[in-house]
Amino acid sequence: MTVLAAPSTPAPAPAAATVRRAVQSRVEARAGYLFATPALVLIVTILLAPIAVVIALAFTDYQLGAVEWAWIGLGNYERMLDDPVFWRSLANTFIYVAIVVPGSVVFALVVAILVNERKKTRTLYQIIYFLPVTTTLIAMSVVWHFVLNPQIGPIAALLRSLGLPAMDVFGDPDLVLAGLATIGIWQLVGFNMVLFLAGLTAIPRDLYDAADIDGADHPWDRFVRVTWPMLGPTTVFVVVTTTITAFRVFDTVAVITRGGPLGRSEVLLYAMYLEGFQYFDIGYAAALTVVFLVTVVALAVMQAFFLDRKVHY
Amino acid sequence: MAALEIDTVSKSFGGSAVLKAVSLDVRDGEFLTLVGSSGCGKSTILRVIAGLEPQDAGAVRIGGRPVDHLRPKQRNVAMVFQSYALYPHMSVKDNIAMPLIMQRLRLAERLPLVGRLSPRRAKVMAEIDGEVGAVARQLHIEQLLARKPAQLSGGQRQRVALGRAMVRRPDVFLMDEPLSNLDAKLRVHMRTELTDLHRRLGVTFVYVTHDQVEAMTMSDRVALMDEGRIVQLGTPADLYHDPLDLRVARFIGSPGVNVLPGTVTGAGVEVGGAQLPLPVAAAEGAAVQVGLRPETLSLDPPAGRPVLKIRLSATENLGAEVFLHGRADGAGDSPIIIRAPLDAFDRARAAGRLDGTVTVAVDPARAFVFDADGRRVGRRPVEAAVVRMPVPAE
Ligand SMILES: Nc1ncnc2c1ncn2[C@@H]1O[C@H](COP(=O)(O)OP(=O)(O)O)[C@@H](O)[C@H]1O
Ligand SMILES: [Mg+2]
Repeated sequence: MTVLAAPSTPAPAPAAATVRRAVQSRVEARAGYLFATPALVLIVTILLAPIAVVIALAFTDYQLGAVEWAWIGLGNYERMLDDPVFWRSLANTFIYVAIVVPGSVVFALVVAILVNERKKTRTLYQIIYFLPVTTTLIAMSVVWHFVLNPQIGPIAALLRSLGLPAMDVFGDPDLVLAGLATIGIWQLVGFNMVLFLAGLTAIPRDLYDAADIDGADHPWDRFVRVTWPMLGPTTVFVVVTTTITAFRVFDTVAVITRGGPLGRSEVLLYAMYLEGFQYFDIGYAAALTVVFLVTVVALAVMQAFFLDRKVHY
Repeated sequence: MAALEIDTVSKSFGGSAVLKAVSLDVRDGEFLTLVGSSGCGKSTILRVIAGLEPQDAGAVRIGGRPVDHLRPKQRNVAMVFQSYALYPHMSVKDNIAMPLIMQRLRLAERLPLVGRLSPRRAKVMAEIDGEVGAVARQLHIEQLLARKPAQLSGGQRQRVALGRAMVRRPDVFLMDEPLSNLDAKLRVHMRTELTDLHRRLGVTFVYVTHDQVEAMTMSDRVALMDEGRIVQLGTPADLYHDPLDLRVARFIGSPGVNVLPGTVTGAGVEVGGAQLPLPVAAAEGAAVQVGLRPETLSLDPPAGRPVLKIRLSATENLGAEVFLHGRADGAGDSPIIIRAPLDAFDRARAAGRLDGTVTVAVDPARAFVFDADGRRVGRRPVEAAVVRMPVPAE
């Protein structure tokens, strides 16, 4: 009996210990949530709650200042499907993004590589290219409007003096998006360049030395075999942030073209602004916002996912 | 395979001279080590040899052929970097294949899709695969060929870097502190592997390290550098037993050489009361520095040899031998280390000669005398055959 009893006596002890451990871990978990609460509250009130409100509003016919409103289910989305302005805005936004993203990324990469090779003038170039980032786009839109003005702008004067017809970039339905995209690129290049410069600085010099010894000393080989692959993670980041920024194009449209001519520069944010703050149709504007959010998030996630797998090492 | 000559090469960076007229002949198939403290210009010499850094003056010849006008890839040298410098986005196989791909495929054939149109490409790539596989087998990394460098341990990365260097069959192998990123145990193991590799390949090795143990254990000859100059070039035994400069004596050997202040007398050198009958090329009364290797100080009764009195402060028993730390009475109170075999230590203790102070016998034939500037005076070369090389301690 003693032989059997011996192992059974200490048995309650581990059981008690288990209970104590369970209690302790529950206390720890509760304390953990307590510590996380301030951050959670902030995230909910600043980020999640507004989004939830927008999503809810999109199911209503709420007009700004109206006393009565009703749930209309998917009514706003149904209206959107038949709204030519929405489709035009969506298409224009995509075209704008399709020009601005490759344009500003490639241009920034080229500039960054050139600036990176400068020793003494590097800082100077960095500041010059970064200047547009520090200006407000509204003010700069006014400047661009003037510069490209077909009557009084310096570009037009230059063209006229060469005997060429003056271009009315913002008045020509075929040029207006390209014109806006140029301003977008102009504004983004400096920021992207700084990101690429940071990426370039982080490439170990040893890799270029090894490439030299291995025979990859042609500028093309150095770029393809070392620089470009090593910039992979930076490029993903730049492309994703640039896409999001480009999707939010608004200032230039609002100040320079107001969606014209012939609606050829209507973009999503501008349509949203008109519906919400000119026509006070908050419900519809909220629905547009939801579409905008979903598109941007989907695009960013897709890019990050696909590109990240390619550049992973 | 080729000899390497460095002929009065100088190099400065923005006004500070990093290499000061360095000349060095490396024999065909030799394992030559450049050793020196950090910042003395070792890496710069390697980079000049490789063609990564143009020298300001002087010439580099490989196999008797001047290479100064050649680009790094044309010099047929391979380099293993301290950081290994593997391409992180490429597999081990592609890393090793890189020099061959660059050598054997034309620019158009290396392009991603267009390259496949070349009828030659497939055949060349198959050849390269075969050679990469052979190198990987030699280094026992054939199972790692598909991995990326980030998925490898430090030792495995080291082998990949070696593989990339070996695959092109270079005339000269340049290695810049290749073991310094490994843990101590692996470092000891890789020392023997590298010397093995050198023997198998029979290629000229120029090996850079700041670790005197690596220099002593691996090399045919060692060049000790300081402040952009080669202070002494010789076999490891030369540098240990016959240092021509105080810096060499201090750098080589662990524990380090004891340096005591002395004075030139009519009969030789006086140090801490001991008269060392050494022919010294210096004026009588001149102050000199006497270098005594820790193992040349004997705990056994002096038997007529000159002696130093030492106050002991600590004893380190390493098993086979004992390090005694103390200060030399009458020799400027200089710190001193004695390295005694265990039996000699036991004998001295049994005889009661270790009571806080100890009298050690000095072997004048194995003392080095340096002038105030650290140059050796009173040279007394010892036959390397007579003196057993002590195994350097880590
Ligand atoms: N590219 C460079 N530009 C400026 N100074 C350099 C450069 N390369 C090396 N140096 C300087 O030259 C000296 C020697 O460097 P190095 O050859 O790397 O020394 P070691 O390899 O012996 O530690 C150091 O003082 C270092 O700062
Ligand atoms: Mg170095």
